[in-house]
Amino acid sequence: MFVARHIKTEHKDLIHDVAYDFYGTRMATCSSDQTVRIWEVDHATGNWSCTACWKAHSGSVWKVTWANPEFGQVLATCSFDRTAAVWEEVVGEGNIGDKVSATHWVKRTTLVDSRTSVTDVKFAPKYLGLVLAACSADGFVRIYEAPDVMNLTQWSLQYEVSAKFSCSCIAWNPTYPRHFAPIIAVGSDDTSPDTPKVLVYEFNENLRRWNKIDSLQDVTEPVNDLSFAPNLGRSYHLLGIAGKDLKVVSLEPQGMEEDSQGATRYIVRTVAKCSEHNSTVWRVAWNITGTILASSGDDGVVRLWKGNYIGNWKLVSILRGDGTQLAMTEAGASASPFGSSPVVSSIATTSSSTATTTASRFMKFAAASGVKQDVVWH
Amino acid sequence: MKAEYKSKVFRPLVTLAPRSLAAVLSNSTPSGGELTTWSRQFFVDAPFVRNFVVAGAEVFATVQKEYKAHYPDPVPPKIVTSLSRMYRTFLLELCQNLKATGDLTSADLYSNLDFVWNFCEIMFLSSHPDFPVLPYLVDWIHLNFDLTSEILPKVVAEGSELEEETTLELWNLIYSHVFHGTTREAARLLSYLGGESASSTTQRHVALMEELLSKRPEFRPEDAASSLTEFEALFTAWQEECVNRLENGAFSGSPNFTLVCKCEKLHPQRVAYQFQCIFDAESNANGFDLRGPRDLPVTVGGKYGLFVMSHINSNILCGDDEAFASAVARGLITWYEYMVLLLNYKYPTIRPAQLKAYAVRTLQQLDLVDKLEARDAILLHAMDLDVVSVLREITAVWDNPWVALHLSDLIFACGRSSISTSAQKQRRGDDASFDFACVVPLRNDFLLEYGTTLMEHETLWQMGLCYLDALPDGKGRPVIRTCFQHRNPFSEQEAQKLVQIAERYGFGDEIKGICRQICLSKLKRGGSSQAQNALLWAIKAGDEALTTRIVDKILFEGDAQIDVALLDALLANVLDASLAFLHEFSIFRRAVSEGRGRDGVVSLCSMIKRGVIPKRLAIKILSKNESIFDDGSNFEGDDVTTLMEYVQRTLVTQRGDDYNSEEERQVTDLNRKLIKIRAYRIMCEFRRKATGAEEEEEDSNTEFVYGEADDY
Repeated sequence: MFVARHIKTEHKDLIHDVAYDFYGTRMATCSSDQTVRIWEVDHATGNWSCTACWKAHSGSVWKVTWANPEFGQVLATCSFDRTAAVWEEVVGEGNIGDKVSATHWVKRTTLVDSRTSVTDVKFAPKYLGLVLAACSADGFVRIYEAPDVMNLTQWSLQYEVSAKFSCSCIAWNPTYPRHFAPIIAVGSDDTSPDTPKVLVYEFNENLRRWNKIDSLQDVTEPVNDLSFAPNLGRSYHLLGIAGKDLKVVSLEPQGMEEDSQGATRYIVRTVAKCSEHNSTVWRVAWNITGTILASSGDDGVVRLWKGNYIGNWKLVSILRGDGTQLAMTEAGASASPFGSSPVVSSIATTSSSTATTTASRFMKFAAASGVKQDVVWH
Repeated sequence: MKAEYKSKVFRPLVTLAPRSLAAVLSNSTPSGGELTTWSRQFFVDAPFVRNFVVAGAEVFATVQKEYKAHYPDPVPPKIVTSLSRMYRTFLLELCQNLKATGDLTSADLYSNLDFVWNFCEIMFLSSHPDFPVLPYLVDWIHLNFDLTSEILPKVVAEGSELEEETTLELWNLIYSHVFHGTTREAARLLSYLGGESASSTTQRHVALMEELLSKRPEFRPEDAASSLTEFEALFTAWQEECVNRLENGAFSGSPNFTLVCKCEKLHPQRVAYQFQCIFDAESNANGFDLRGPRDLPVTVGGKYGLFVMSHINSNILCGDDEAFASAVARGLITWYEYMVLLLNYKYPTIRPAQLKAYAVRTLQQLDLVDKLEARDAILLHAMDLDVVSVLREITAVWDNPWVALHLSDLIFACGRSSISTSAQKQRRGDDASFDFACVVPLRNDFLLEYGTTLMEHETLWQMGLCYLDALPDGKGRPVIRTCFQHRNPFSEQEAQKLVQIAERYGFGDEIKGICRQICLSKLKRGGSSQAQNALLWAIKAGDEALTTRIVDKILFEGDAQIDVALLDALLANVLDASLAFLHEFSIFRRAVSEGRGRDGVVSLCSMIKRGVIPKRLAIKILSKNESIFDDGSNFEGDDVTTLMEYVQRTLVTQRGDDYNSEEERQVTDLNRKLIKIRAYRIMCEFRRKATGAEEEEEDSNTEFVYGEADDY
């Protein structure tokens, strides 16, 4: 069962990003009104309230992202004003933020290396330390590091990778590095047909550099968002790609094989191509176990996808802006580990429909009908 | 500019978090748009369900123990069945609790689940593919349709003089027991009709009937000595006896039957004929040859069924076909009962895999094929031994993760795939298809879903570990790790609990992360007052850089008074050479805090000689632990010289004028105390030399008062 709540954001212009913190108890939104807002949930009522709001940049704020809480309450933002910034929540210090709150958000640093709009920022998985990747419209991916987590004013530019196309989005592979090197995927919204749309880089620890490992030839349309699925034991990585439609691409490393540049060889395969949005897809997001993929598109709904137990990706639910949810039994799919093979859906539909139309003959029990089919995301 | 243009284009957004999802799906400038969140409500938070979930987890843990104990063999069906019954006990308890509180909708849900679970237990866990399924079905029907507890108290209360209505109810109860196959119970109930007040004929009839019903052979699958062949022979003989007695008119002319059958519309023989027609028609229509010797018991069984039926008087069963159908349609007898009735008296030896054919014929006969409910469809899938469809339908219809998971887990533990050899399939016929290869991935999927759901719960999250641990090949470990990372250590207590469990799993990075998080939060939010606490967490984190930094902070910015217990912890954890100072310092601090002045001086001098004391901490260490300077006897040999040289070199010469007034005073005090001690030591030396060796022994008991040194 799900409870939908609507929140008036009070942003004065378009919202460009919304991000949950690590535990899902706080949210940050950013907007063209150049501000960032922090929202906090009241555990007793489930209601969200704005606990801080401040002008973060001198241009539209494109993205906002949370660092792992191990590093404190830290946010990064990026903007059309060509900068990225790092913010930290502190107690009784500074004067930015909501006066009502006991805490304040303080700008710790401004990263000014880009000559054009900084289009995305993402913190690296925590095992890499407090590391931030930023990409910009000038085609660069920049990786910064704060060597001292107690002093977030010091950030050094560690790597600068030229993607040679206008970058629109960036994603870290969150997989714990037991067997895998750090991976970054960069997407481009460049409309010219000849340029690659997604580049995947892998960090080579020995050479201390980022090597390009693939350019995902299957993706030919501008890319709006990327997200790696958390990998909880798979031998391959899954990358969700939002573009003209939704794609899920698997990248399977080939053991210890390396090319002349020292990069691991990968087998890249498109495992799902979903066109149900019937329009441009803007965002993709995974649940923490990497079993549910959410996408939002110009059709104005959120669609939830799930890989069934034999690896087929199926649409399992649609969430509408009015808070309603449409489980996929109505649409011919089953919201369960079973997915929706044609046979399954026909049987499920039959049973459900009969259940609703037939009066119970069973003295002891009521008719087995009217049960909701909620989709579980974790 | 392109980017400027982009900033004017609305883009629907979505983000996910544990238990919730947030999206901006509409552009409602100038208010900036509406944010919609969907938060998932746990089914375990419903009333009574929490205890139910906890109890289920305990049984689940037992199942896993049994699985491990028997591995690589499957858990014996007897054990699995008893565990399954434990699960059902909790289901029934939950139903009763829900009913008691008036939540009938939820009670119905769990009643349905129990009913279906019970049947699946028969098909997948308890019954043997080579033995009759009937004994299990009798229990199933009896458990779900027995009305004895409702009617019998009334009968007992009325004693030997039963009212007409009660008598009818009693007869109905007897008939239902006969239908359900619980004939001994029916025989016991008959005694209420054959009391002293009954006529001798009735008493004779009752006695005869009691004898017949009590003698009905029962096949006991759990009885190793029970032979199927023997059972078939006994059953045949018993049915022949029934037929003989019926044909001999043993029950004819009974006034009690006449009384009870006052609303009878049809002559018993006609009723018998009708049932004969029904049975024969359905048997022939389905290609069963009743003439062969193999089917002899079947035929006779049918006749016994007629014998019983002929005495049933109510409109339900004595009427014509329409009345019969009407009775069924009104829910007065269900197809489940009717199917078991057929099996009881016509086909008592059918195997589980053959059940589907009889169920389908029952449904056809009752014209219910097109009116199946979801529950019926699940039962039919179970009769097909189609475990995947059963689990799918349970999930789809009731969306109850608890049942699908635990049932699939039991089937997995039972390892029925081992009996699914091709030879056995052949013996059962083509309709028996076990698809157990799917049970493993399905169970894994359920475990993953249920386990992660529990792991997200605020208070029951530790139960999720048990489920994720049950994933094979260590697949649960990365999931637990991820879920762990998303547990918010919102308090020190919670953090302690998390660390404890992380230690159990050897999640070093997570322990470090949790401890660092608490440590940083204390440092950043708690200020210097929380520094020692933060140090404790830094030590736990095993983060030497952070530990050094906090120690430095405490020593340099604070008052250099680290708690001795903390220092012990440091001592136990210090591995890095850069923390050698802490090692020495902890020994020094312990000696000082325990009043062992001499040991303190030795330790201090050792640190000075090894040059491990950070220069900026020197003055604090000396001035904050000055109690050791209060007793000159703590110093021996060149201790004073070492200290004076150190003070002169480190605190005076090297730092020059870089002191505030307080520090200047401290250095002066220190120098004064050291001079005093030196004077004391010189005096002691002087006296010793002056008195000579012989007197020295006498004077050994003479105490020099340290204060005397002030005179020098």
